[in-house]
Amino acid sequence: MGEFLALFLLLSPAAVVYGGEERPRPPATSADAIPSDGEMTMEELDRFYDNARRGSGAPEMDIAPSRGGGLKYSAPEPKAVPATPPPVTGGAEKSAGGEEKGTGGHGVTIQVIGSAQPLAFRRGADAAAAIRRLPAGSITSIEFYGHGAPGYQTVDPDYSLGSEEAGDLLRGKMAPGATLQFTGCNTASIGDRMRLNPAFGLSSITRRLLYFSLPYFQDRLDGRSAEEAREFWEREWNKDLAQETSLQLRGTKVCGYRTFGLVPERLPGVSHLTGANEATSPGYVAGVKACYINGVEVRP
Amino acid sequence: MSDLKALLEVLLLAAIPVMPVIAGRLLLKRFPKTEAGAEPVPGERAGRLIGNFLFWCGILAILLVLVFILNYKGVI
Repeated sequence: MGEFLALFLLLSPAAVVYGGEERPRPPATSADAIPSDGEMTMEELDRFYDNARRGSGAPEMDIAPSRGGGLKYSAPEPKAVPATPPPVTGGAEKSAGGEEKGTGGHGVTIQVIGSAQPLAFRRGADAAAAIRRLPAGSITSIEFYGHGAPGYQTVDPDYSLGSEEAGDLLRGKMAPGATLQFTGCNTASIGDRMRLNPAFGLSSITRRLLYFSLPYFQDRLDGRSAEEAREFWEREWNKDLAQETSLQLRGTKVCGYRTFGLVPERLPGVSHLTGANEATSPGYVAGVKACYINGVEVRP
Repeated sequence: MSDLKALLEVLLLAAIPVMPVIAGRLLLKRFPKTEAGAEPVPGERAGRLIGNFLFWCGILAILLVLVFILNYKGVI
């Protein structure tokens, strides 16, 4: 009898919640909300947005690979880049199956004209698919959040992009005066300004060690000539993803981090305490930001 | 020659965060804490202050570099 009573008490709130809905609304994750051919019109975008808002807060699209248009399939790249050129998979996607666990905070947040709510995606491939279907000039701001390295940024373990890929993906989609933010470490060059900030100095030292010295010696061990290895990694270690992307997206303000961008919420333990271990945007980032418009540095 | 240059660069870069720790430790040794009632060494207060500052800033710098490396490895 007690078991029946407990079951009844457990089911009652669920029934109330379920009964509160007059009719089931289309979920934000429905791929049918997006036309399979061509771009969305502003009306369709508005409808899509309404659906997204009815979802569980941050809409996460679940688009099957067959509907992804010209997306390429490629194997996931390792996060660390010790001995090979930065892995740019450009629109790489693995599968649109279940959400991966334990990959920490990462994602893409897109602000579109005419909506107060941003679109948030945990997977880069889903965000890319949605961006391709947005009307031209509709994005007012977009943030790629994940791990960065000189010249490229990863969004999730299966999706990373360089300046060419970001340019191809977003060309024509950005509204006038829009902002693109790469929230990842070393997504801008260290620059040539003298600074007194010791943390900036330490970040620059670490960048040089990790992205020049380490891969240089790895290449030497692999039999590459000293001159070739030096020339290659001298070019790579201080690449400026933000500046290069700003040249691809004329008129868009593109920002990155000159240093390691440390997100306190990503620290082990803190993310669990704050419940931000699967966040799609970073909150506070400790790092030195740099912004460019058409390749020229502007105030962040 | 290129390898030697790269190796020297690594050593110098890796030594930078350790330098303040060594300098701080030397200063703290040079200006030891005086016993109660004993005559203080001239400049002891400033020496110990700078020594402590350098020592702990160096420790923090090493920890920060470790955080950067853990971040690079994807641990955080």
